[in-house]
Amino acid sequence: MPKRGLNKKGTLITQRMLIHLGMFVILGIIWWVLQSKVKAIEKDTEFQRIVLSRDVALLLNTFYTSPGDIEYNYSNNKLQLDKFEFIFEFDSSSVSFIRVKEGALEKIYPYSKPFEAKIPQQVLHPKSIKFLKKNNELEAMKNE
Amino acid sequence: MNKKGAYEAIQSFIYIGAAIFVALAIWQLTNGFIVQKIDIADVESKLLTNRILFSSEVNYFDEEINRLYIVVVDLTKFNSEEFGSKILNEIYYGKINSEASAKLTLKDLDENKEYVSFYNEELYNEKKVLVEARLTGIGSARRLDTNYYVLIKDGNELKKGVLNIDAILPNG
Repeated sequence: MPKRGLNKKGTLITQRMLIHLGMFVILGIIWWVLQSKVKAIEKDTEFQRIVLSRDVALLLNTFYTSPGDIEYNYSNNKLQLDKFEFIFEFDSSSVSFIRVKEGALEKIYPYSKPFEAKIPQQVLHPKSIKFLKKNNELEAMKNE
Repeated sequence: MNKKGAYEAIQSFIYIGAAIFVALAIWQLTNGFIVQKIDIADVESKLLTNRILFSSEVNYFDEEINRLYIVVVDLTKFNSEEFGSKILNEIYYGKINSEASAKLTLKDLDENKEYVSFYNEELYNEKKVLVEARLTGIGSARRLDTNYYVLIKDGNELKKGVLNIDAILPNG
């Protein structure tokens, strides 16, 4: 009577199957990771946040360059400004920052303003931002 | 596991290793193609130069009519001991300014004299060495050297002059 269970050849086949199965699982994981990466890039707004933070910081520096009063409407046709929050920070002991936030994600960039300056301001999800500079004090407000 | 099985297992590990290597290469290439760096150093240094050039701490300000005379350098302000601290407050990047610096050289063309002042002298001296050593990358800095023809207000007299602004900004 033949022995029950797997013979030598059978054991080898099972081992091969397990190895191949493991390979498929690992390849599947790699594929899933790459797909997630591509999707993350598709949705990523890091570039927009970088552009906006630097653009607005340059704009603020330009305002302070001018010795006169300024009224300016900042809009951008290519980037939807209403996706972002703009936070203008000023702390007398450290650098002033513009924070461009989208949810928990943010990008910050420094700008320079005169020492005696207005308190920090926030402009949340604007279609465009209105800047008013009068007597060296700058105000940023939401423009619907 | 017999000899053949062991050989196949090793072969499979090699394939898996190769697959992981290819995946990492794709990952790196993808990251490389995403533009995340925007270089605005040139515009920033031009802006700094203009801020200094248009500053009320550099130019003559007539308090009676509340008017700033741009590119008319007030020699009294320029040579005063408080010039450094006043201009740091005018172009204010915090108490410890690690964002911008400049050396201002005012040449009096009528009398052939030269006056030197600084915006953030400490950072300027620190970064000047790196710029002259032509070091690039994070930690180093960039220079923009610009000359402007100006008028120098020395008392009630106006003289011809050149203001050289040697701006040095650290690489971000």
